[in-house]
Amino acid sequence: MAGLVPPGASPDASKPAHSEADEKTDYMNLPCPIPYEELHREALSYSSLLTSFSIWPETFEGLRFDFTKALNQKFSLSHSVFMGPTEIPSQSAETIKIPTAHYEFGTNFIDPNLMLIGRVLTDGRLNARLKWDLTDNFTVKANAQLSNEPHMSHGMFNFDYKGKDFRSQFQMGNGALFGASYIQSITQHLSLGGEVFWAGQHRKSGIGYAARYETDKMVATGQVANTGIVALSYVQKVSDKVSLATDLMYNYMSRDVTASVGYDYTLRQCRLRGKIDSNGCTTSYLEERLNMGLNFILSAEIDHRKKDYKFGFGLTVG
Amino acid sequence: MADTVISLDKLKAFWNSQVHDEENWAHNMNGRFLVSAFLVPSDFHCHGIRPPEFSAILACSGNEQKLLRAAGLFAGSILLMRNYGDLMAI
Repeated sequence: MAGLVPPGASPDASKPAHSEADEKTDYMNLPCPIPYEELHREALSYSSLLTSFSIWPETFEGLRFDFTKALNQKFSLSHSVFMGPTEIPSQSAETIKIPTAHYEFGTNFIDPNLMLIGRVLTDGRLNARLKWDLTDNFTVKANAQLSNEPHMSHGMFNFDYKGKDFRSQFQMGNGALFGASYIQSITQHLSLGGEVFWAGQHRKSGIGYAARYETDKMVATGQVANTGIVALSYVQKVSDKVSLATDLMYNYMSRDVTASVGYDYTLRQCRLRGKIDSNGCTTSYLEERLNMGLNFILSAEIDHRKKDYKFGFGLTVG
Repeated sequence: MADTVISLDKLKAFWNSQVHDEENWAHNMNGRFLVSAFLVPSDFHCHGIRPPEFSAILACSGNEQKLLRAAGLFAGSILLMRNYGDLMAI
């Protein structure tokens, strides 16, 4: 079988040249960047759907119980109970908490092209989310929060288009809210983007820019906006089980600044995340897998400066 | 020898009066800020070289010190993570 090797082939000589070509950036073949709103997904949490990506967990105070029952491969129901104090915004520096308890009933329909999620709570709130992949490149998203309280209901539509090495999004919401964002891969590791929004009801507009640099070992992001916000984040992937992150949020209008340092340990039976920030607030979140489908959750947030101590525990089934 | 002891005592007394006395300490800190605030403007000349002690750090207000602290924490964390992050691996 000596004739199998094609004539003229010299594999040893061609291999180094081929690998050099791989290392050089092919600017016509760049990867598609991640969506603009998920720029900080490794470091910050922008929505509850992204919490699993985020190194910063959503801490809570009190008791939480979640039960999810799958009726078939696509459809599932969820029941959630929450009991504990809820913080309400106050003008003074003191924290005001009101004890609350509510039950939440939810339905989830998850299909490769269509995702529908609905939640209704005993305090009269309704949350609904839709994500519909019309084609491989075009997605429609919608979300709505309805409430009994006047002027507290919101709705928004997003139209996302994914190109070969760019993503663009147009959004419109109630209160004459319009927004658009665009993010483009510049090199294999760097992507740059920008966004604009206009809120007709409040007669406000804004523009922002963002950059993301990603390698196998680290992700660095930066975002600035004319609303006065500067957000920087850096995530170091130390190993498959361990990530370390730090972020800085600065508002140059209100001169408020917060820096945080955190860690994320993903072990076989548990996931432990925690952070400490420059305001002296320490947070920790533990998810322990007791059994298949049964998770025990412990949450703690200690703010020595405000003397605000939050401890929560919960159970997740399914 | 006796003279040295006396001057040391005087130095200690002076140090205690300036640092451990609340009124004097407050006056000293304010004085430094006032002087540095006066000297920081660009038209101040000190033989063409700005004295290092009147740096921008001294002229900072509380908010700027908070920003420096947060920025220092952010930058320091990045340096530590990049250089010693492997020590945290399991």
